[in-house]
Amino acid sequence: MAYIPIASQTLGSSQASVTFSSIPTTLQGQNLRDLVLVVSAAANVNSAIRMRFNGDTASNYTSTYIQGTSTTASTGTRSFGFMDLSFSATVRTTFGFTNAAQLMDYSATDKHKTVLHRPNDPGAAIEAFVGRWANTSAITNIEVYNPSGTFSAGSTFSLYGVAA
Amino acid sequence: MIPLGILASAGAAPAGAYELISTQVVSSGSPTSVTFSTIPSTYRHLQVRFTVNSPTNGNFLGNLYLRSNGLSSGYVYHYIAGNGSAIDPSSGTSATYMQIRNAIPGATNIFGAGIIEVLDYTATNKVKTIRAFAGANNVSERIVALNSGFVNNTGAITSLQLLTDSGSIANGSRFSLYGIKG
Repeated sequence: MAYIPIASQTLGSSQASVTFSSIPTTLQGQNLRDLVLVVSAAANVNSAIRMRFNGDTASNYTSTYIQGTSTTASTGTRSFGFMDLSFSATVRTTFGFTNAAQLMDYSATDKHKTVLHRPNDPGAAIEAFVGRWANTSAITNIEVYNPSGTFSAGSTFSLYGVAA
Repeated sequence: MIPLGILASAGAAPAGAYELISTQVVSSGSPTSVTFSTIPSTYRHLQVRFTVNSPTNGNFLGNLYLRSNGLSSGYVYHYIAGNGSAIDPSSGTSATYMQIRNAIPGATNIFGAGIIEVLDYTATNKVKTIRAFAGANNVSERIVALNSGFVNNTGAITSLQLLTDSGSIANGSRFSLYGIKG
């Protein structure tokens, strides 16, 4: 089985962030190549959520997205000290937001880290992102956070490794 | 199946449902393509996960092409891409490959990435539908694209070839093929 659960967190109470630390590069005797971060969340206020790697808060993250709402299609590029997990405030006060972020070659030290993900809230927008963390260090820590408020109890965050 | 890495809504896939078939990491030789051949027929769907760079592209992006069974005709594809400034929808018909839009940067340490899915690849009553989600943020060009297409052939897929539109594939580029049971 090449798709291996690493860790999962289901919030018992609201909190502003979730962190996966000490991320392994091998599991169950297999070398892991990619990570998949699956999020199903709600928040106390409509929020756009973000992630950071290895505690890096410098402007080393670039994301390009396309977005479709009920009326408009758009594209943009964002460069900040975080990587978007959603662009619009699509993490709402009721559950509906989901995302599965693919962190490709997460431990390769010859590459910046490329992330593909498709956040969506059926009530707001569908988006597709490609992000780049301009750092060749292996990802050992992922922080998912809500800069506008808190994640609601019942929100789930699951991390999987893909062996190769 | 596990579409694009998202778990099936019923929960985690049972043990052995998603299996690594083969990984190729380019380490020498400056190839212009990689091929997965003699693909076993014991799965229902295939998934390719890749990271890729081609120095030819410099600070811009090149396209990745896909061919199955060595076929060089009969491909139809569509994509929708965003480059941060404009949305680019386009298509190809009667093409010699399926195009995966602008997934290959050329700058040092910057690799494009993608996930390709070939559904029902052994079914001989179907043309083969291919989906891909790919993109890259290079120095001077950035693209995220959703791609889909089919090859107008009902033969079971036994090989997949991934090619650059120009230039060689850089060392460190990685292509992994997975089989998904069902």
